[in-house]
Formats: sequence, C-alpha cells, structure tokens
Amino acid sequence: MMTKPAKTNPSFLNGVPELLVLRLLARRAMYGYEIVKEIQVQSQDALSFGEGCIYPYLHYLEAEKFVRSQRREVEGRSRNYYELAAHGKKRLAALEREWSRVTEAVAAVKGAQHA
Amino acid sequence: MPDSNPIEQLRLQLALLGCPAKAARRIVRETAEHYEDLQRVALTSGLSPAEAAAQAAQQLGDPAMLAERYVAAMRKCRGLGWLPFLAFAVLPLAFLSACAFFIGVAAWLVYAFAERSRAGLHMGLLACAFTGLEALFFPANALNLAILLLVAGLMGVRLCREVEPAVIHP
Repeated sequence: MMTKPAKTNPSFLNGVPELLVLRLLARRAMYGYEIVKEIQVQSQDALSFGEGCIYPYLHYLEAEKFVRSQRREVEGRSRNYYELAAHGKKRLAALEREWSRVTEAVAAVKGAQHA
Repeated sequence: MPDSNPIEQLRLQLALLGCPAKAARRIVRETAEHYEDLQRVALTSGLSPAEAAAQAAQQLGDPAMLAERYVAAMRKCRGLGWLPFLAFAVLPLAFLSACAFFIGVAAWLVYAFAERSRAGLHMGLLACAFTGLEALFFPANALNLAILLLVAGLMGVRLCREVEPAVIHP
C-alpha cells in the first residue's frame, strides 16, 4: 500500500536570509547597509550577506507587505529605512517555528549518530 | 569604452533587462547609497579614494548579477512574473484586441451619430467585434497596426466629408 509522502522542507535554508532580516527589523527600523553589517557582527562573520543582495530581499519583503519602508534623514544622510509590518510579525513567527523544527531535527540526527 | 562605475553599470543592466523605470530608479538609489557607505568605511580605514572605490565595488558584487537578482525578485513578487506567457504574450494580444475594439466602437459611434442611422450603428458594432477578434487571432504586428490606422484614417476622412456639410448647412 502506498503511504502518503512526508512533508518535505526544500526551502528551509532559502528562508534563512528572510528570517534573519525580519528578526533584525523586529528590534528596530534599519536601512540596507545596517542590516548587512548587523548580520555580520551578530553572527561573528559566520554569516555574511552579499552587500548588494540585500535589496532584492527587502523589496520582495516589502511587496509581500512583511516590511514597510520610509525615507528618513539621519545625521545628514537620507536613507530608506525598513521596519517590520504586522503581516511580517506573523511571517517571522512562522519562519522561527520552521527553523526550530529543522534545528531540532538536525540535533536529533546528530544525537543519534553520537549515541 | 564601458563605464567602470558599478552604479552606472547596474543602471544599464537594469535597463537591458527591461526593469520598469520607477523600480530601477529606487534600486539604483539604494545601491548607490550602499556603495557610498562602503566607500566611506574604506576611506576611514586609510585607503586612498581610488582604492576605496575599488574595494567598495568589489564588496558590492557584479552589477550584472545584482541586476538579474533584482529583476528576478521583482518578478517573483509580482503576480504576473510567475506567468511570463500570460504577461508577455496573452495580455498584450488581449490589450491590442480591446484597443482595436474600443477605437472601432468610438469611431463607429461617432459615424453612426453623424449618420443618425440605427442600421449604421449595428453594422459598426459588428465590424468592431470583428476587428477585435482579428487583432486577437493575428499577433500584434506592423501590418495589423497599419490596418487599424488605415481604417481609422479612412473613417475619419469619410466622417469629415459627411459631417462637414451638415455643420456648414444645418
């Protein structure tokens, strides 16, 4: 008898940049350069976003209404600041749940190998 | 000689990929600001302006690749981007057909009004439907457009001839 295939998770790594960006924006509004640097600093250079690659993500997140942007002038420089939108909070919660599921699964496999 | 400024290269690549002007302006502006931030940090670390510019350009990445990512992200988040056949083949044809129909309707309504004939109006609407269908089934091409313009022009000339006396001699 055929069994129903288990739910696959092909995009769990693809969702990591989105998760990181939304998590940072949940703390405060930031502009692209700040986000890239913050990811580098907080991950102690383990994770690094391609400098120019952040904007396609941000524009995608904005189009999906997960974030919203606003032009602000700070210290004489005008930048596009992004902040988390209400829809983005739900998306972040979903991505964090998915990430926890994946890390727990990986930990379980690693634990089984060491046992 | 190609421009070595990565921002100008990005602008060019976006244009080549058919990125809408408004979106391209925003992408270029944000990337230019990012480039400026990278350059400023490089300068404060003691590099010369030329070295700082080169390092910033390297950090930013290949403009052609960036442009491709931007356009791919844009298509991903715009509904029609998922359906390129619909966006670039079906809709333009439907648009051409609708245009042909409505131009025809407008012209025939004016003609029928000038003639004050109900039969003329019905014939006109039938002709418009036919024109619309013809434009739908025969792809948008110069010949089709030329036919549309010719028909519109002929109708305009005929209308002027018919209306003019009525206007001059009520």
